[in-house]
Amino acid sequence: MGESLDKPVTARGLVKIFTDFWNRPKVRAVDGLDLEMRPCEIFGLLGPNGSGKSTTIKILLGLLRPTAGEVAIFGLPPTDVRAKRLVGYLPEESYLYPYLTPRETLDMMGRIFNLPSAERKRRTDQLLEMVGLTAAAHRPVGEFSKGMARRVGLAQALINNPSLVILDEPTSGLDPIACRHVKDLTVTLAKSGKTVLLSSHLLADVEDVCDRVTILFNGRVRARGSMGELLEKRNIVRFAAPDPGTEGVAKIAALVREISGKEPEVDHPSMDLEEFFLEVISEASRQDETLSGAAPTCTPAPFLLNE
Amino acid sequence: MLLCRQFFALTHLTIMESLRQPLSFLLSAAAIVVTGLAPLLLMHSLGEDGKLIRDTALAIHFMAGLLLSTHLAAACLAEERRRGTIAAVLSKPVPPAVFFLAKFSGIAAVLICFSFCATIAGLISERAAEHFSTEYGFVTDWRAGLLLTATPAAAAIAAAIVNYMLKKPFPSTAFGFLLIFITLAALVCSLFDRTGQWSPFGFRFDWRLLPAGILLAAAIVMLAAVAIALSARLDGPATLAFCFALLVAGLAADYIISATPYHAISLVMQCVLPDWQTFWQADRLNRGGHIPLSHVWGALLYAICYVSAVLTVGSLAFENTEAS
Amino acid sequence: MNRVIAISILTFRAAWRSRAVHSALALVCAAVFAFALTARGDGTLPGLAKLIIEYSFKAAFWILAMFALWAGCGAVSEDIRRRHIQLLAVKPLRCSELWLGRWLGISTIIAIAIAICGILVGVLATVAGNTYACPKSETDVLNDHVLTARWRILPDEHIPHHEVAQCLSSLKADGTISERALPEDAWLYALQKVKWSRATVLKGVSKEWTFAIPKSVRPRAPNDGAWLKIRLRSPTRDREPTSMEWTFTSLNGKPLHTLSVSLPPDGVHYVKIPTSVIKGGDTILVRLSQVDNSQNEPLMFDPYAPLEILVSRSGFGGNLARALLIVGCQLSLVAAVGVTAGTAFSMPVAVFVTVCGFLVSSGAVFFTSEKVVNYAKVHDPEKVSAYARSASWVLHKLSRLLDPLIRLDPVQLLVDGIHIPWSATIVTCVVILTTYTALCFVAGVYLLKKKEVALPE
Repeated sequence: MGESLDKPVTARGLVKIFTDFWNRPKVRAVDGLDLEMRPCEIFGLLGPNGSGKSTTIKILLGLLRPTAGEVAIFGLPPTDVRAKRLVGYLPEESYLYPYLTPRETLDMMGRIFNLPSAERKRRTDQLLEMVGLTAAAHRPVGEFSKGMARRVGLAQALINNPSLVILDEPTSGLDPIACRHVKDLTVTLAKSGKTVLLSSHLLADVEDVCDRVTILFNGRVRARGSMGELLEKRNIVRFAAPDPGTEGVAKIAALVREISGKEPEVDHPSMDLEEFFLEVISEASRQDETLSGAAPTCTPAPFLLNE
Repeated sequence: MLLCRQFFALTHLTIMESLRQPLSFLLSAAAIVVTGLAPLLLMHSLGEDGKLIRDTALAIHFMAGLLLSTHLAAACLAEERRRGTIAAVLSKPVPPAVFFLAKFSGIAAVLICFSFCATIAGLISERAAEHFSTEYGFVTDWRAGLLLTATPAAAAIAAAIVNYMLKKPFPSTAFGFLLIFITLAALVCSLFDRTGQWSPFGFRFDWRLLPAGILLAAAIVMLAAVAIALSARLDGPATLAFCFALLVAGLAADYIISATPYHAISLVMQCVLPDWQTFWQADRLNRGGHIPLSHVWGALLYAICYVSAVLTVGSLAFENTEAS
Repeated sequence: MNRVIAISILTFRAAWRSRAVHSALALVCAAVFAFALTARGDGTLPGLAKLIIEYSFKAAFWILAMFALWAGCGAVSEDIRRRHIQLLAVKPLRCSELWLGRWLGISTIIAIAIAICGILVGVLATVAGNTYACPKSETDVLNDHVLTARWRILPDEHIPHHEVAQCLSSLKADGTISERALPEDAWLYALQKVKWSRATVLKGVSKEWTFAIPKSVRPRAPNDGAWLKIRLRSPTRDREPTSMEWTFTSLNGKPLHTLSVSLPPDGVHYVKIPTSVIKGGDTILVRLSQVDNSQNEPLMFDPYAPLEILVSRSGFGGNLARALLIVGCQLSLVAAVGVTAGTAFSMPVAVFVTVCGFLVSSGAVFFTSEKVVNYAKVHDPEKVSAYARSASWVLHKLSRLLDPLIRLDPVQLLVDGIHIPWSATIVTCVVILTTYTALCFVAGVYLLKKKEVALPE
């Protein structure tokens, strides 16, 4: 089997049954899943806890073997070293070595990818800058908070400038600013030619960034399609305009009533909490520049954009 | 009353947790198998008398107990500290001292069960070697030996069946069966003589081993107290290393104390170093003597005092440990 | 290779920063110093130096073996339990590279610890030699027999097969050995009998040993040391010294040297001989004539090592380095077994399985070694159960497993001041690495490939 860059992920009839010691079925975690991802898209895997998202991802990464079905990453089996060279993975928890510092962690991962020493150093510096851990680069990861460890996890997933990035609950443990940055980064990565598979149960995360989603429940696909297809309410239209005053609103409502024969809903649009929070923090950080934790920059590491 | 209920609930939890460690069953089973094989291997190979069997059985009892106590202390306390599950319990209205003491009690209960198995194994093994004499040649009661060595396998098979049928955890069930089967093995041995003839209640056990086993159980519980106190701060390997060093230092306690130049230091050493010689009575048995009951009571009192002191220090150390 | 190095650096760093390694290193140093400070020896300086070297080394070996076991068993199993492996397994890393990296990382730490221990032991033994005030004779013995490396030439003690077979059949005929005895046991017992009878020299009888001097043995200077080491065992205590005459002749009968000595018929004795007697490639005959007729008891030599010729070769340092190399390889094998066991089991179970494996194999070697009395000696073999016979058979088979490993005991050779040749060192290391370690590697990689590393707990 040869490499096929136009098919980042292909899965057909994927089944995973966890068994007990006597090989009797215990849990059917994934049940007949079909999946196909296109290059440069952000693909969302949605579902409640225990729906089979992480199991699916682990099968795609070769960490678990499917009970039935076929999986290919760029046309190769997921356990093939050539496929692994093209993949970056952020696990649901950052299973990092607590004795290593972020710099050592990234350097070690770079070595595994056979990167030359100078290139490793360049990428390490850029990634640490990107996740805002330059100042904490020499502290052991074991001393980090969950959010900071998550940032190291994200950085290590990108050290090889992967073509396929698999992010399992990427925003878990992160503050809203970091969440925003991760979402922005995800979009930037896709724009720079990478394919992103994002698994989350936080609907807002997926809604903000994904091109297509698959919703899993109890190991089975319950819905799939592009965000537009799935979320658009074709029988309703919303207008946004400067406030025309009470009279103006009454006139427009009357017009809509006359055309559609139904009473329209009229209200003022409100800012969502994330937007409001980011505005407050951005104002606060302008006033107080000293930060004790991580301070991520919004710009992705240049090497990820092939600069 | 609430404290008592909390204490018993946590002790029960620790017992279950300890028994579900595969090593609890594996170490107990290995101790029984090696003790059972001792008469068959040692006596035929070295041509020694039953002394070797007694020494071997008691040494295996002590060493396996040391390993088990440090492993359980590390698994039940150090590991909980590492995983952070301790924070979940201590966030409830449970005093840290109660939590700490319950952990010790749970481990001590498992160790006493282990000691029971090892002592019975020693009794049967001694019985298997009982009829050795040059007149008969190298003759052993191989039926008793075989019964003893087969006990762990039978327990494992029974536990596997229960696991298959009822989905009960294998290690704890196997440990339970081990306790039952070894008692049954001792009873069966009491019904037959060396030649396999029916001989009801002719135990032919060297009952002198019983107080020796009780003393060793007390020594193991003392080691467990030290191990759990250390686990409040240290990891498993460090605890094991320290306990092993304490074991060696305790064995050489007399030499160390006599070699210490200052009286004050020697006094401290006397208090800190456990006097294992009090608990190791194999030599007395080998000389044909008995262990007097007064010695057993004295040793148990010493063990209680030592354990209390160690647990007090450990409990204070644990109170000052940050759970997360 | 880069990936293997990455994993070994990771393993090294993780271990180096853990308390367990600090504890192990501290314990090794403490053990070495404790033995140096408390060892009493036999009251002589050479005895003290021997004791320091032997016990310090053995204590360090066992402590490091425990560390190797702990680190090896935890290398993969703890990675799986703590899920770190999920980060590594998704990288372009082969199972073989992961196994090798882990093993190399642990072996590096072992190598460092062994080097520290070797330096300490070497320094302490030398310091002990220079510090203690003692007679010159003791200092000479220390330099000639302990802090040195000497060639050891053993006599040709080949026992022909037919001689053992003959002894065996006579033992069977007189009923000492039963027909039902296990063949291996019976053979060992007969072999032992032959060795003892060969080691006994009756009053007034001469005995001759043949020494084939290897070509590599070349005394450096005429005044270099060469000794005949005699091991005697007396069946009775406090016997008076016996006068003996030892004659060294070449194979064609040309007399090379004669010496008369009076030695107690028990213990180990060194008799100095001129180096001119020793020529690489030659075969010499050493003949004992008992001069003293006042003794009624026969002269008994140690049946396993009656005589040795020792020739000064080089210093202690090089020998220490070679011994350390072999010990390092043995410890890295323990780590290899641990790493492999850790791929199949959780850490505590892996430790248990590995320890059991080593105990069973070394126990088998002990129980089947020819030094112990065995089943064949039973007076009434019919009473030996089939169970016991089967156990003996299994032990015999198992003992062969460890045979290549224990053939060379580097610590004992070092303590005895015997030269450990580079060739033997390399062969032993290669055997350890290419057979035992390689087998562990193959098994470990296979198990790792088969394992699903992200199964829920």
